[in-house]
Amino acid sequence: MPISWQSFVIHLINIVVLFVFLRGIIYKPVSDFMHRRREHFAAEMQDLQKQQELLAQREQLAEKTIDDARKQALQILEDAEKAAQQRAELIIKEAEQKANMLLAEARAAIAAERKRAREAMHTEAVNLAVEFAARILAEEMTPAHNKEFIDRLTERRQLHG
Amino acid sequence: MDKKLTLILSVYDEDNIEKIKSFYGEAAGRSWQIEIDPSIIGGFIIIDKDMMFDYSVKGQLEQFRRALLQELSVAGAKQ
Repeated sequence: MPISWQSFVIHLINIVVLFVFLRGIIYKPVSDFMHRRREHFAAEMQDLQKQQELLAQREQLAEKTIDDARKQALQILEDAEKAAQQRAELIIKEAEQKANMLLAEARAAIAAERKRAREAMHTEAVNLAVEFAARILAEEMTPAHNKEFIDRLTERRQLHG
Repeated sequence: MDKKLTLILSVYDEDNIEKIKSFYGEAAGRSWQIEIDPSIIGGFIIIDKDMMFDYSVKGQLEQFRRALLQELSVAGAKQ
């Protein structure tokens, strides 16, 4: 069927009207919706990025804290080891001093005991010797011996002379 | 004042007593009390008030004993 120019114009006007109508009714709201959605996604992405950065900062901080704690723990261990070593050395030194003192005391006690025993032995020996001498003299002393003894004591001098 | 002198002997002997009186010297006007004690073994002891002069064998042995112990003590201290 042949196309008349009136029909062509009417179709063209219909198309233009339809285009304007569709643009006004559908395209614009959809376009606005899409634009808002893009902005929303962009904002969420930005927020996500910020959260990731914050997370990274927190991770860094946590790692630093763990590292500091590790260093501090090592320092505490080192200090404790040093203190224990010093304490052990002090205890050993004190024990040595005490042992030396006990040894000296024991040596002095042994020497004193030895001296006391020697003196007791000497005293006993002397007492026995004198006792036996007295017994022998008592048995052997005759009146003649006694006279001679007294003579010797008295012959050369006077007590108050 | 007590003027009495005491003389201790192991056995009684007049001759010895005279010798001892002469030896003591300061006995003029004083009386002697004679005592016999065999435990002194020999020799004599004179007691004049609070003084005692021991010339007995027992006394000499005691002095010897003390001197010997003193010597041993000094020698022990030097070691």
